[in-house]
Amino acid sequence: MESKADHPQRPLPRYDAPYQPGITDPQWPVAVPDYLTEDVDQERYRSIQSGRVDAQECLVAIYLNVNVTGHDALRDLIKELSDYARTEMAMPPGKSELELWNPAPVSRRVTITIGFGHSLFLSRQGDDRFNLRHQKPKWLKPMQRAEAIDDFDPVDDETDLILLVACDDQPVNDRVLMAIKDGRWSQRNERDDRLIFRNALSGYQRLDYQDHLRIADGVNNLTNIKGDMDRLVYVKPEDFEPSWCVNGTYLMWKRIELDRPKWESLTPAEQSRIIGRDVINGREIAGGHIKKVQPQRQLPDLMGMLDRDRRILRRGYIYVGKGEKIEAGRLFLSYMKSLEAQGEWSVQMWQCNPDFPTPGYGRDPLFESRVAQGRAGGHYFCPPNATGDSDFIGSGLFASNLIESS
Amino acid sequence: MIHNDIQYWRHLQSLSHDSPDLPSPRVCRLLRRLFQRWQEKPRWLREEQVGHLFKHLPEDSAERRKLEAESPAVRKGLAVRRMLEILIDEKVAESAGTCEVDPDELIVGTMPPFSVGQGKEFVRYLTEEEELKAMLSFLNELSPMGHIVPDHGRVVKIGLRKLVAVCQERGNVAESVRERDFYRSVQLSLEAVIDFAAAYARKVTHVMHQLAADDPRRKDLAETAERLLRVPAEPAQSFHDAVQAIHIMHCALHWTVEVVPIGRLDQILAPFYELAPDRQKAQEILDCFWIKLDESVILNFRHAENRFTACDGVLTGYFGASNYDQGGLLNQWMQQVTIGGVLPDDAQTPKDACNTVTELCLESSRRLPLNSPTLDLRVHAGTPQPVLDLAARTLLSGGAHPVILSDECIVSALQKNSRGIIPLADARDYACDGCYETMVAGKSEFSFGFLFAPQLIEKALNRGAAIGGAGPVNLRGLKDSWRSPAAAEIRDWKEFCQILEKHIRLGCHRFFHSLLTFYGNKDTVCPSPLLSALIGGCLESGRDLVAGGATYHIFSPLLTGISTAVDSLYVIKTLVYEKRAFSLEELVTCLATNWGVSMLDQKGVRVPAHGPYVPADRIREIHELCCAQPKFGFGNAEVDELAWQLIEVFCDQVDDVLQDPVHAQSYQALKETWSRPGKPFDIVLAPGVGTFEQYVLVGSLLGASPDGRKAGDPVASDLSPAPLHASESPIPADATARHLRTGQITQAFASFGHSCMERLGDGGAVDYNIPEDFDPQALARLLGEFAKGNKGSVATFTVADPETFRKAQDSPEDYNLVRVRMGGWTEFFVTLFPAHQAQHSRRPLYTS
Repeated sequence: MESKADHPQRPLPRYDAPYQPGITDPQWPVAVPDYLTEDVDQERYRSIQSGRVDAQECLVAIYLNVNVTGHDALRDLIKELSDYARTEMAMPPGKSELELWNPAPVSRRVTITIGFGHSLFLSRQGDDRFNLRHQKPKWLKPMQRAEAIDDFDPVDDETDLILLVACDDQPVNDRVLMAIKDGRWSQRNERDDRLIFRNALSGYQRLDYQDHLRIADGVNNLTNIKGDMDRLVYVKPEDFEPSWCVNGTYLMWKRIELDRPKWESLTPAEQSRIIGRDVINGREIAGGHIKKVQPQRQLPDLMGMLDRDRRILRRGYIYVGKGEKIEAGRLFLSYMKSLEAQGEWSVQMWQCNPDFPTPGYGRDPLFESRVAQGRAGGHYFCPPNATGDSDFIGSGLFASNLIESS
Repeated sequence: MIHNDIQYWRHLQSLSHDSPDLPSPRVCRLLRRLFQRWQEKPRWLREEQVGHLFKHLPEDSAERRKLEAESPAVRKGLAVRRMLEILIDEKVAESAGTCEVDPDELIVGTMPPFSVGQGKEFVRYLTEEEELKAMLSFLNELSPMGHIVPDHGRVVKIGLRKLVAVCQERGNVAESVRERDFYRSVQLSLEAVIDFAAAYARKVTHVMHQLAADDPRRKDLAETAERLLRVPAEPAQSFHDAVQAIHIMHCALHWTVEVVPIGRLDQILAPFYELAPDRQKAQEILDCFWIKLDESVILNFRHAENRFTACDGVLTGYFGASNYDQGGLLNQWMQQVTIGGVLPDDAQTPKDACNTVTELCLESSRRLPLNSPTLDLRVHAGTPQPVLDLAARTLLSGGAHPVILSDECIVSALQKNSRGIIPLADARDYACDGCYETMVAGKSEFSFGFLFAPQLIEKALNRGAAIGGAGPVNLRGLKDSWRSPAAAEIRDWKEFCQILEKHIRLGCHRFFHSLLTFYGNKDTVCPSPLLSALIGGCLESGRDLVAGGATYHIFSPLLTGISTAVDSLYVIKTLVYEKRAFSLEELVTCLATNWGVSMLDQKGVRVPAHGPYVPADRIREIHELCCAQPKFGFGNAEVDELAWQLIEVFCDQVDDVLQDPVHAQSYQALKETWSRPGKPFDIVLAPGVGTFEQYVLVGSLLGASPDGRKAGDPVASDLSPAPLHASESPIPADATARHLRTGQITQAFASFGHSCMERLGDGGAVDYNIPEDFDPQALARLLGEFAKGNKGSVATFTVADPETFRKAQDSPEDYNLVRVRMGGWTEFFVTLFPAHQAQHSRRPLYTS
């Protein structure tokens, strides 16, 4: 009989997939593992694990601008950054540390996901700094202000690059963060000032996916049971994006402050009305946040799209900010193949629209009640994965100099 | 009214699935993508991607020598072919976006980002020697101005292959090399368009194969590919064929530097509508066409290119570098669509021409928040009320169109101006050119030139010198006209008017002289073979349209800044000569010092650089008095009469120059040069008043004016009432009114209800700003009144509250669908440079 020690541990990142690591992986297999023999275990696996992302325990989002001039210099920078990420992801747990563990982990499940900001293709002022405007992902654009739910101007958060470093071991994240911040990430002997550190935000994940409000974000999240996750997250050839974007994905992120004292001062009935689900028995009730962000109507909308095809992959982390006023909340990370049809649509047409799903419904109650409040955010495009050791993330963007043709 | 894209989508989302206001899902998807494009910097062809027809070839190569030996006309035809080939080159298309197909499209064909303000790119084909020679006249390969109405009826009814056959037949029996080469250049161009359409068919097929096997759009794309192999080569067989044929030809024209409008679309499409499967499908096809025509919008002026050379789009008959208000023309592609009006026949009683396509066009413009195409609705006493009702609703949706043109006024004007050259049937077949200029559709060549009315007053006041240049350098100003009597010597109003008339006369003569001198100079530099194929008279006569080929040769001297001039004349007439509040000499000093702004300090005393001394306090006093006078365009007969007299004098002078002996010899020589057996050449002078978008530029060239306007400040657009002065705030601080200058449209109609309007063959547009809560029924009634005639020639309506303009300046993203009338087309307010935005905000607000 199989022993518990033989059971597979948490799923590992996929470094050789067409997609960048850290987006839809690590991912639990769709099929129920053989070691789960009891019906109750199998059912539990199907409902909360099967085909779902098993996010690493901690994450740091690093926001960067590039400090190079010209197309070729940018290509070199991105290549070296990609190589650095590959090296970090391949690094096994330290030997000295391993000796202290029992059983020793086979991996810290490190993923470093690179995202390109709109400003890399076209600056706010309309300048094509790197001669890449013609290669811009079709739907990549600066985030628009959503005053109904947010209290920030996305202009302040725009950067050229984002690095999302995730793993199960906080010191790894911290080491990467410090290396980037201090310009010690590349092979250069001196401080590498080609990346300008703008900001960073660290978060962690609870095994039960609950956030500061003790609400689990994950029940209705995308799974790959029917291939929905890959279908709705990654760009396909039929999406008519620039060819280098195929197997890439859009990232919409927000820093959402959650006011826990305020939430806890509400009665269960008030909390239920805000969420749209009875917080005691889980039964769905009229009104509330859930209907605003996941309407799940059966008929196509004015674009001929079904609501279910507008779903996004949510991969959030809990954060506790530093500073005089300690801010706690959710670092909301979401991935989709079309910013326009998925993330942006759900924010503008559902969440912030006071007349959706019915006239006079009001804006998203979770935000309207000020329990949640957007504090920062932005858009990026995460290119497909490198195809081998000599390749690098985003290489397709630099593959051919179309300008020189004809 | 909907102010931004998010509001727009929420509005559509709130509609029921069967609402007539809801475009089809396909159209919504295309619109969504269109809005995204608008936020971005358009992709442009690089100069080196376009290149030269032969300069890259070795100098001694046979191919190069062969090309050099061809005439410029033939080389132009080859350049057209080369240009269209470049656009569909896979790598060029990927980098510059020159050939894009969206799987949702029912109409395909990518429009260039070229606009009248941003410039264009085109394959060069002149030799170095030819380039230098052309440059001496400010001409090059980019000099074609388009700016005339092509006959797309030929495209859909005859098809290009038949036109090619005509060229072959006529070319074979041509009497001269020049004629043979003309036909060859047209043939090359038309064949290139057929190949261009076929290349699109391949692209569409490629896109189709990228879709999933069960994607329902595959069927539509397969049909589109098949269609493009048939049209525009062959005559259209369906409504869809006809729209596609027109669009691909329109693309080809614009890519080959012929920036042209569409013409009388409802008349062209009406026979094909009968073949349409149903109204809903026809509407969807037209919606898709509308979207294609608006692909190149920029909402951020920082996204603009400026590819201009000194020679772009040169006005026929003009000598000099082509520097106009390029910044005011960022989204202007001259894509006017004319609808409505009367049928083009000689019947004594005109017959209404409206049909179902008229309504479909209005519906596209009403439901889709675009700026282009600009819709021009011709109206007359018999225009059906439902069309007027729909026009009113379309206007109040906020697009500043349709423009309303009075057939009663314009048909008559075109006929009268032409001295019998334009028969009634053709006058009734007019369509709008790039702004609203009226001309016989598909048969006319056209150009224009400006006479600045306020500057003519400056010259009358200032001994032939423009006051704008007064100061230490030019003393009394820039000398430009007769040295007429000094202000102190002008005894009375009558004498002042006589002097003004003399300066107007000189301006008209100069316009005509320039036309006679430079007409035809594009022939050996930048002929227009492709456009000539669609202009009546060219294929028939074997001449390019720039070489006298068109049936009609319409040229418009335009008297601009009329409202500023009239308000100024009223000041002179009443305050100087009737009330004697100040002298004309004093007034000249006020103006020469820009109302005291540019006085010099001399030992502690503020003095003018030249001319009689007037103390600064006195200048201020006079200024306040002048500003307080009534203005033109508010139904004040005393002021309005001065406008009518000014227009009459101008039109009289235009009529006279044609007969004046001073031009007899050169005029006769011109006629002899360009006449052909059976096709005499003659010129139609159609006076007009258009500033178009150049109300800022025109103002910048003018000195201070007697109405209190400061030097360099903008004037009104076209024949519109003057805006507030730049120093005045549009919204009163005490909020006692919506706008500091308001009026009623019925009063304004009275200002323009005079027979002189029927002399403006080029039309006289009045741009009204009206509030967003204007009652649709009231507006429809007003349009009905206008349609009956004697209320003006052309009326446009921008719908926006003064408060909306103010907020849009502060928060552009929240007002990114607010559109305004630029004097010639519709523009997004947020795209405008601040000087233009401010001028729009200062325009008077009219209510019912």
